Amino acid sequence: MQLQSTMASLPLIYNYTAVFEAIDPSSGAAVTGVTVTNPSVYGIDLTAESGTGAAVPLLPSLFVPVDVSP
Amino acid sequence: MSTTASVPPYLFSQEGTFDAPFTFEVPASLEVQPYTAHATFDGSGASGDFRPCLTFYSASGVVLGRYFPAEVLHSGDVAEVTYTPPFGTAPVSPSPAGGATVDFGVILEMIHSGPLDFARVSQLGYLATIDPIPVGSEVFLTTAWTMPIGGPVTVTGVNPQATPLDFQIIEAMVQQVGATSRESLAGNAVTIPGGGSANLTWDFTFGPNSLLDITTPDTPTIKAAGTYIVSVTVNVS
Repeated sequence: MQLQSTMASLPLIYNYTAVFEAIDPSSGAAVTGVTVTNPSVYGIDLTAESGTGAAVPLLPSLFVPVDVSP
Repeated sequence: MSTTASVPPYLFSQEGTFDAPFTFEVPASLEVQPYTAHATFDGSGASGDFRPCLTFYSASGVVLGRYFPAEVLHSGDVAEVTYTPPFGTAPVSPSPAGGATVDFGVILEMIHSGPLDFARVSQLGYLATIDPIPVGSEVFLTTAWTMPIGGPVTVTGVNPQATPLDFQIIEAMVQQVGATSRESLAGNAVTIPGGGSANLTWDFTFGPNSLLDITTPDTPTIKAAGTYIVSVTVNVS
């Protein structure tokens, strides 16, 4: 089964975590007995840009106004 | 729009099979902005139905956002799940087939100087796409606008139902274009009575920068003039 989900691109700093977990659909509590295989998170490393005044990279996914008025 | 060539990609990856939950921690001195994620979830031994979820936590364990596909998996199911940024505004949960009504609305506005100078995106059914949004959904909205000092950034919940609904900003990001400044925020649930509308509140900031003045939580304002990208995820229950 192939599934897809959207996710936000949050800047994550030291000690922040990205967790693959199985949660109960109603309560959000952890469901036991589930395994994850080959987990991966691909992103960009902003470390070199911090405090430099350099432009933050703008990727199309962050720049999608559906409606702009006027 | 440009991409800074000096920004390198970063990949957290671990080959093998592991019990859920499986955690990647951002190492010291790194700042990473994830763009896609992937894993295969095997529920052969699951104790019950589950959602294959990717959750971001702050250093203190606060949930910054949960992301999962619309489908609920059952014990015995195996699913390969890819998490990608949303292209355009879209409800994370599925819309009812053939639905023609709007169950609730969410509007993100950045106002520069008046009613004729603002950016607005909505999941209400006007100004943007007409997408029925079932109660229980999470909605992602994003837009960008050039703002003065004190310019308000608001998220409005609209409840056309007969009964009250709780609206909550569960994750928000403000990013200044042309600078390195970013701020992650979240809010408490706001109960909106049936037939009503109200601004949602921005109650918590997780930094790393301070771009919004949230002294008045339902009407945060920009601290320094500039162009900003604002993204919010709103849960309605």
